[in-house]
Amino acid sequence: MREILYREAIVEAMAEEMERDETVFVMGEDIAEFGGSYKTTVGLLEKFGKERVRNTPIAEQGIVGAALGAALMGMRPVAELMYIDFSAVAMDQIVNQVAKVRYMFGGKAKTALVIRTQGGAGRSSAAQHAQSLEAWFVHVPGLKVVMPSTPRDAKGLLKSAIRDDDPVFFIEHKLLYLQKGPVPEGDYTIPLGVAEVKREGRDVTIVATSSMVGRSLQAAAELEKEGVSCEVVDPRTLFPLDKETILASVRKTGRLLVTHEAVQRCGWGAEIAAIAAREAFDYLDAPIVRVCAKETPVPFAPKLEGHVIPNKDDVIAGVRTLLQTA
Amino acid sequence: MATPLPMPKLGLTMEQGTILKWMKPEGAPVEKGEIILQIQTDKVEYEVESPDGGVLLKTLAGEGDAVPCGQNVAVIGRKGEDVSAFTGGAAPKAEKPAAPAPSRAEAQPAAPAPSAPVPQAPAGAPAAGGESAPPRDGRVFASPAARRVARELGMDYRTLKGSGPGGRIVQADVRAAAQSPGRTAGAPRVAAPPAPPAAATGPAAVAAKKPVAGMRKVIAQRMAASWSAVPRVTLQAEVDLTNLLAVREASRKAWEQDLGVKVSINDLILFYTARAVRRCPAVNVRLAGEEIHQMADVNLGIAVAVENGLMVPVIRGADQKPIDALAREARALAESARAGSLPLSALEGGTFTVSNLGAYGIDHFSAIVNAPESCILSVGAARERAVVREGQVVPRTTAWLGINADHRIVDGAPAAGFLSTLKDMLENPKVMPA
Repeated sequence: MREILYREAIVEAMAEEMERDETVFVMGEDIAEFGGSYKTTVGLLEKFGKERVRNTPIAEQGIVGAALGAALMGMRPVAELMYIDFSAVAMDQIVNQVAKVRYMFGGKAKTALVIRTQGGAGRSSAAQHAQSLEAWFVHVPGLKVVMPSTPRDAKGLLKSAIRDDDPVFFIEHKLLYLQKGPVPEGDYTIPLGVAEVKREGRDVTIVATSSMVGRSLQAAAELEKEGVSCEVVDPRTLFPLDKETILASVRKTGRLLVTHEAVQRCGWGAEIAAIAAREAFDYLDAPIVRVCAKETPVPFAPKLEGHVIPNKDDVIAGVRTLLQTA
Repeated sequence: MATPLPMPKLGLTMEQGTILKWMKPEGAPVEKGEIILQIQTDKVEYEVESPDGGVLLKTLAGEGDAVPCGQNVAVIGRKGEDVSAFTGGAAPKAEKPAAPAPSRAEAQPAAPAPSAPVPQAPAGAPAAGGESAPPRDGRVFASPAARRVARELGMDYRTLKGSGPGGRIVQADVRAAAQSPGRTAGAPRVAAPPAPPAAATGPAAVAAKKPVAGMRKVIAQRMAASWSAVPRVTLQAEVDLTNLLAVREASRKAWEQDLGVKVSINDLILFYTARAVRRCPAVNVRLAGEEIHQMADVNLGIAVAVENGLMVPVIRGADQKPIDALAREARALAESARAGSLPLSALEGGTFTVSNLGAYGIDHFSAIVNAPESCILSVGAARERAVVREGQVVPRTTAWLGINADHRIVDGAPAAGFLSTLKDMLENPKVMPA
């Protein structure tokens, strides 16, 4: 299968959906002539014109509000927020309007919009441009939240998100944009709410999304050399959550590690841990371990940033804790 | 930040290693990747590299000590650094823990071992690296999984010694106790038979004592585990090897001159066994927890007697190999096993084992299944025997072959099917080994 970049997979998903359905259009800051600050909308303007590829002012509240209005009128907007950090500006629209409209109108209004954004650390973007804020959105009933870890998942999940009649918050990762991977050509979708076992294993279950999937796979490959076998499960969507795949894995291995780039306290890892503690209690052979960012704003200095954000070695250390004998 | 060096885990079945020799004294400077320690597992000797550069601050185990995998045996760091964090024995949350990667190319095990290969202290041994926490207020700490498994096995876990942190009883402790001989917890107690009257001259004298350690310990544990867990079905059949011997005689010169290899009758039996296993996949299975794994390859284990023990090196993809390659490999593996120079990779991934005691003049015997495999073939001595053919008693060369199968996943009929397939192949050797 041909290999393309994660960001190319994103472009391809939007182009195919715009081709298929004329109600789909994209909007955001610098997405037209410039092609997006992370090159995720390159070529769309040339293909579909200014009407369907719309530059917006720097006004996140306006972007989300306008997208919601368009969706209510039957369109399928894909709105880009340049950084997830900027979603704070649009929080009233996202939380109080987008997530609530379908419910408050008794299901009579369709809010088929996608909010695309990117998060995560690793490029010295400093504290206001490197956060992992997915838990904010998972905590709001009425939103679906997606965090793809590979080019193939990015394309298939984005196409599903665009076709979904509920609002979907779609979080990409700035370090993954230049990652290459096999991506099928043409039309395929990956359903929301279906996890994938990225590596099978026997001794420990590692639940990871986005950038932590690759780091967990590296950790698993190293641990394999010592005879420790890790299963890596990627939920892919944090809501809806595929509990069964995660629980089946935990019941098999008896040990659970959850890892994310967001800080530990009140991160979505706590939700996974609580679900496992309740629904796989009799299978746990060790306390659940979380491997997360240290509880601090993300530092600008590369060395410090590397210290704060969990890496492969942190995952290995977490697995060792799980396997610790007296 | 000082770096701990844990006892490496070099294979699925390795639970502990013995410190053979420290190559460096405490306080000596070490380079990252430099060999600082020799260890011995139950199978091999192995050189361990330093995970980091600096000074060998402390060795936490002495020569001759047996240390569970994962437990720290040394700390490397900067001169004068505090090592108190590592002297508790448990694998710490180090910044960059890294056990040295085995330098040998390790074959992937063909299938998961039936129980999780978690580094653990042997059941019943004192918890490694310090005292296990005494039960507080009579409370016994056990993981939920350990409690569930104990429930399922009808055992009382409270009597067990925990190998987890702080003496917590974990699943592996329960499983180990369930497999240990003399398990009485939860089982009805059987009155011991009355002891025979002692001889008038007192107890029998002991000439020498040696600990059950290393390879002997592993053999003892694995055989006991297999014997207590595996319900065996045993089948035996007499096989007429006369035609096979004729084939060998006819091809012997060609094999020796063209291929430069001596082919024994055992090599030919291995050759056809591998092909019979391929033809009868029902005997090429493993029980892994709640699953039955159909193995993809035919990896033939050959039981080799070595000094003070037994090893089972593996010929991978044996059904795909021509007779000369098979004969060479079988010989090389047996020689390496006897010399103690087998790489770990040669001991992993077997799916079916053959044990041949013909050289000892044994006619037939019953071998113990080499778990997690499900079947083992026993081969007796080839002899001239009186055989009745078409109403006439004639001398023929025959040997008794037997299969022992794990009846949980291999029933009598498929085991018999395999044995009759093999018998037919050996008696009418059609596939000309080339």
